[in-house]
Amino acid sequence: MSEFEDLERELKSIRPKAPSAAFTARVADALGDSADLSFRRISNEVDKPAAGGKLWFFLPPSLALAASLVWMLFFWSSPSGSEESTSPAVDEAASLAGRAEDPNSPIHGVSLDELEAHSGMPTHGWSDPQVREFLLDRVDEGLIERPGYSPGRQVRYHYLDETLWMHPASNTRVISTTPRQEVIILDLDLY
Amino acid sequence: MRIRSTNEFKMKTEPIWKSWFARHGAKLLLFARQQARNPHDAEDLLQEAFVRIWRLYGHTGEVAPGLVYRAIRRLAIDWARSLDRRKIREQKVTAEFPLYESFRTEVEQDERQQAILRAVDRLPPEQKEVLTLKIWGELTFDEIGRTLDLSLNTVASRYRYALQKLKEWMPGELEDRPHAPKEVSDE
Repeated sequence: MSEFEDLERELKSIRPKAPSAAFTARVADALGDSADLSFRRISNEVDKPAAGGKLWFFLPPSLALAASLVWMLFFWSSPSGSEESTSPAVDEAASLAGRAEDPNSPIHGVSLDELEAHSGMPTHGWSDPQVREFLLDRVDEGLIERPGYSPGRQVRYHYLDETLWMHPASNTRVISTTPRQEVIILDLDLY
Repeated sequence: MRIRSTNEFKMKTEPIWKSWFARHGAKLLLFARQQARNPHDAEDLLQEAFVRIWRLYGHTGEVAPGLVYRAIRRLAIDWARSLDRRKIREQKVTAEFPLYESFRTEVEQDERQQAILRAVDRLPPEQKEVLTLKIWGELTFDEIGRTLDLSLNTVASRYRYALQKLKEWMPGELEDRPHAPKEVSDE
């Protein structure tokens, strides 16, 4: 192809017009959320603190969950638990019944009245728990191959589930937050 | 508990698609203009193709331009099929907007360059699109073949025929110009 080298070089030296600013703005509008998706990836790769920030985001609910678990262990193993502290497990009747029947459980053989006296929290009169979910983040994880199926696009949603127990008579509120992930695979129709 | 919004991420840097589009938009638009019937359709075509591909692959941060070329091509075929025959006939008459209108009209685009572009315009469409993808799209023959659904041999021979014709049509001018630009433009 060397006989055309000069011609090719000359052709390449002529540059096509760039898209107008108005057209680029139109593309930006049409992209919508997709523009933000790719943006986030760059931010994570280039800016290390941003990645750390994402982990921090999950730290409070994780710490809260861990703290409540530790506290529950402490409470069940200590018959004279703090009267001012609260436990999200108090109202979980099924769980409670299971523990009460378990001979190895610290509350085995303890009546509800005794439990109420020990914990300082009422065992009756709780309202139905209110459950809310917060969508925290959506991460597009790209293409995945599935044997026997068309390729899919995997999207991971990060939620925070919040459960609120209320005891109107004693004006007591117990809030539990739990991180949750959902993965959705979208079938691709590639153009 | 503090919920982050996407705006917090947005403040870090510019969306990646913008730099990608600045780098590849011109050559994609040039190809779209060859596939469409008028400049407005070309923009619509490019927008639709780019948005579709970016939604699928944009998260990777780097999308192969070949995917967008292919999408442009297939959308153009779909759009052409969706129009009735009469419309197609009418629009074909006005379809011949010259190639040089798709290139920069700067001072350095001298008469010779316009002559070259006019010569490119005279090429059969199937050769012109191969030439466009190779020269300005900077695709390999393999990528061009996949974009246009052609075999590697067909692509290579069309490209060669196109260059041969151009050289035949402008032999004197090429020889008279010993100092052709040596730098390949970086679009």
